[in-house]
Amino acid sequence: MKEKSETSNWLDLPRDVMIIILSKLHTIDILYSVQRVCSSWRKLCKEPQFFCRIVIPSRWEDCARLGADGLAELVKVAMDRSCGELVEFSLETRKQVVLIDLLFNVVERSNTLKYLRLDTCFTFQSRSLWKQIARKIPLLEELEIHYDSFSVMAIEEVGRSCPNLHYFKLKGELPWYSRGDCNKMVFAIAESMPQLRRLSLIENGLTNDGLQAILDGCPHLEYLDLRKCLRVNLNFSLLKKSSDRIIDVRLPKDAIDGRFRTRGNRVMAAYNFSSV
Amino acid sequence: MKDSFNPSIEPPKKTVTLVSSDGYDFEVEEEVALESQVIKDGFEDKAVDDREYLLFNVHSDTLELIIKYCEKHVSSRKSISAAAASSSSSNGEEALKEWDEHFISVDTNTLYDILMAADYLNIKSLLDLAIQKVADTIHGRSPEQIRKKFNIENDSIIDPWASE
Repeated sequence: MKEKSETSNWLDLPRDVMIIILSKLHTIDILYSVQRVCSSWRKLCKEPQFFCRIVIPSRWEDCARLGADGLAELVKVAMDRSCGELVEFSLETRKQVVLIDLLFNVVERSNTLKYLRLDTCFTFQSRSLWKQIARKIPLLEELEIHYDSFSVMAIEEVGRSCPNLHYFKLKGELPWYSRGDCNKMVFAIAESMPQLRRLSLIENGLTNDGLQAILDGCPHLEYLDLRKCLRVNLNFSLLKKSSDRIIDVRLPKDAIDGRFRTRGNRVMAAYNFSSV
Repeated sequence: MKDSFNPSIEPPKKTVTLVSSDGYDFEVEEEVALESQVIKDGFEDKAVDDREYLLFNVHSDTLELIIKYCEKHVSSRKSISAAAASSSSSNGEEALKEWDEHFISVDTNTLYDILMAADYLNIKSLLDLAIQKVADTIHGRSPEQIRKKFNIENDSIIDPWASE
């Protein structure tokens, strides 16, 4: 008869099981915690597959302590281990401004990137650098970026260089932008990103002209987020046009938490409701 | 197919005996045992009168939990498909998910035993559940917290992070 041991030895777990467990963790969990636990786990943490998605989540407390240099170093190590197979790069932290060099380093060493999400802002000057960045990410499918880091020219560059881009989200605040500036951005999207299926323009100052351009320019659109786009004045014909085709629309007065999420032809009813 | 819902026609349930590593017999319904891919794979080749499985790597404490899990999943699957057949609304899958979550909320030693048994018996859904639980337990913790939680000794002489 075999006696049950008092305490379990986690180092006895089969390697393939341990690999699956680790593959469910964030890159920073692997680099910052798991590989420092013991020598056996450290060896496991060399697998390139753990580093194809670099995600720095917003709730990572040690991020601020690490500082910009520490973060850059961490990303560099992850890049080294990913063997150039990076698929996702997401910086959800807003605690610090990440140097444009970091993004350059990432796209320079991997042309397999499909998902790019940045919650940090670059400086105004760095917007022009998008020309160089966009050319290094030809497989990009999803892009989330701050208005501050982007420009009309950047939109055109990304639209030209990333033919697979189907999700685009511009976020942040645009306090000093005029309607004209916002519409210019939106016209650029309509013109250079006709393949988009999902578009999010929260807090954008676009007007009905801009919306009309989007509806005309992006025929494959399935999802359109216009929350807090308060200069859009949805009239019946525009609404009809969008609700006929777009499956999922968020309206200017919808709550940011998505409570009034509307689908398909229920758009009209929902709009009446949210404008009460 | 419809006949199976009528208890009067249903034949008596076939059972098999699972023997734990510490020598306890567990008699379970055949379909419950077949949740294990290992048992299922060898089932056809086994003699009809040989209905015993010696599970040398699974202690009775753990086997009891594993059987509880498999029984729950077999019965839930039946009620979910019955609800689907009569097109009545059912939150069966949602309820099962909740049950799973509660089931896997155990101390790390028990979690280890379940994980090892699920791997040994090849019960895919249970293995996935346990793996996710371990990942969730590691996620967001410092190396020291992880060592404490999983009772692992630090044998690293240098901190690789400091060295890189």
